[in-house]
Amino acid sequence: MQLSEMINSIRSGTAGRDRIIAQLYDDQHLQNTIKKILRVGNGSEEDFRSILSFTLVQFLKTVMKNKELTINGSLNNYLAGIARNLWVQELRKRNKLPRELPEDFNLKDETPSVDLRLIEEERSENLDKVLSKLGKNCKEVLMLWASNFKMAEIATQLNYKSEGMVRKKKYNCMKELSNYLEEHPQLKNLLSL
Amino acid sequence: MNIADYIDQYMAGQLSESEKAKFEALLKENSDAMNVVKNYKAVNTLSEDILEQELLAQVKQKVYGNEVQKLKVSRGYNRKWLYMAAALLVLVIAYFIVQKSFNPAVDSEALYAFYERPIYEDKVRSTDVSTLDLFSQGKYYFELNDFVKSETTLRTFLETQPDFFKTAEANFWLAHALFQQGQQGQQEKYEEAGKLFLKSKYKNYECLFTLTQAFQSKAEISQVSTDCK
Repeated sequence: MQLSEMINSIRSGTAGRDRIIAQLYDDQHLQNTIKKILRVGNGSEEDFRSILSFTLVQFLKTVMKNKELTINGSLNNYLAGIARNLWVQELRKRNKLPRELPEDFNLKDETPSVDLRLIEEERSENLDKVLSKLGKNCKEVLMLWASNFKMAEIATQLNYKSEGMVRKKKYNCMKELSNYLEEHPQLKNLLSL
Repeated sequence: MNIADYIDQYMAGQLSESEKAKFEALLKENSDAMNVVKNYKAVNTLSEDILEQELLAQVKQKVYGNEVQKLKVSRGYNRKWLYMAAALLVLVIAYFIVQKSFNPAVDSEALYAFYERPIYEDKVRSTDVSTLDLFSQGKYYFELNDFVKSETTLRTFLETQPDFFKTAEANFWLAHALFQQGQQGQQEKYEEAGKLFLKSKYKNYECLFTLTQAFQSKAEISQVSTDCK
């Protein structure tokens, strides 16, 4: 599958993303690559699942936010770059990062960056509290808005009659969240907002 | 002008000066809109979090979906093994308790711990037996571990001098002589030994009776008092 097809599928909605997730998860080459990365620092089976999950999430997020994404080299190498980054971050957190890393661990400039915020579980719990105040429609609209989708694209994907309807819905959802944050100012610190 | 339509452009600095002025005028009249502007960045970050959360949920469904099932099954097997191990442990403990109750060897060891053969200071190593009366002879042979001779002599003493004031004590030592023979493998001696201990009513006779009963019937060790010592 071409990268452009993959990007379209990911951005097309839940079903499209599920297809790509399944395809990447079942890719033995990718799995072996990540397992090899995790040999540094003696990663466990649980570490493998965690790094694989966050690698896929990071890739999907990048695609969701950037439909013009280009990758120099193979997708496998690109994903391996994300996995390496995530694993180095994790080893650093555990104070287990070896002084000397294998040659293929040298993180080059073109290595895809990792900007996931959900890795910290504590933060994730607080986030659940805030987001539980929002309805499903609000979450969908805000999620696509944060993914830099155009209003027309959101309207098409979520079956709104017009861009104006989406704008109105999005504004009302933003108002809801804003008022909640005003009422609970401590959440901004807890959520690093 | 509608705030919902222009808020993104306002925040991105994409409005003209006149549009910006109009927009800000609207904001002054609308506290909710002011809040939205104030928290715009935070809401944008939260919206990105929603995206991550959604993607993570989808990925986890695939990565952990099957695993969760497997783990559940696996946890079931673990519990099964745990129950089996617990049952096995109970069986092993029960086996040892039963063994302790019915195994003669174990019984003997335990009972020997309760039993001490009486040793008396008046034991004489080189004695002219002919100078001793029957009672003293019987006790003397006992001290020499000649329980058969001790039995015979004490029996004779009891038969010939039944009213002697040492009858109770003679019964006691005869019982002991029989008891010792029982210990040496003549099981039938225990029964009489028990009876004689009762008859003697001398030096913890009840305890010694119980002791003989225990050896005879392989009864519970707990029936035997430490007073037998």
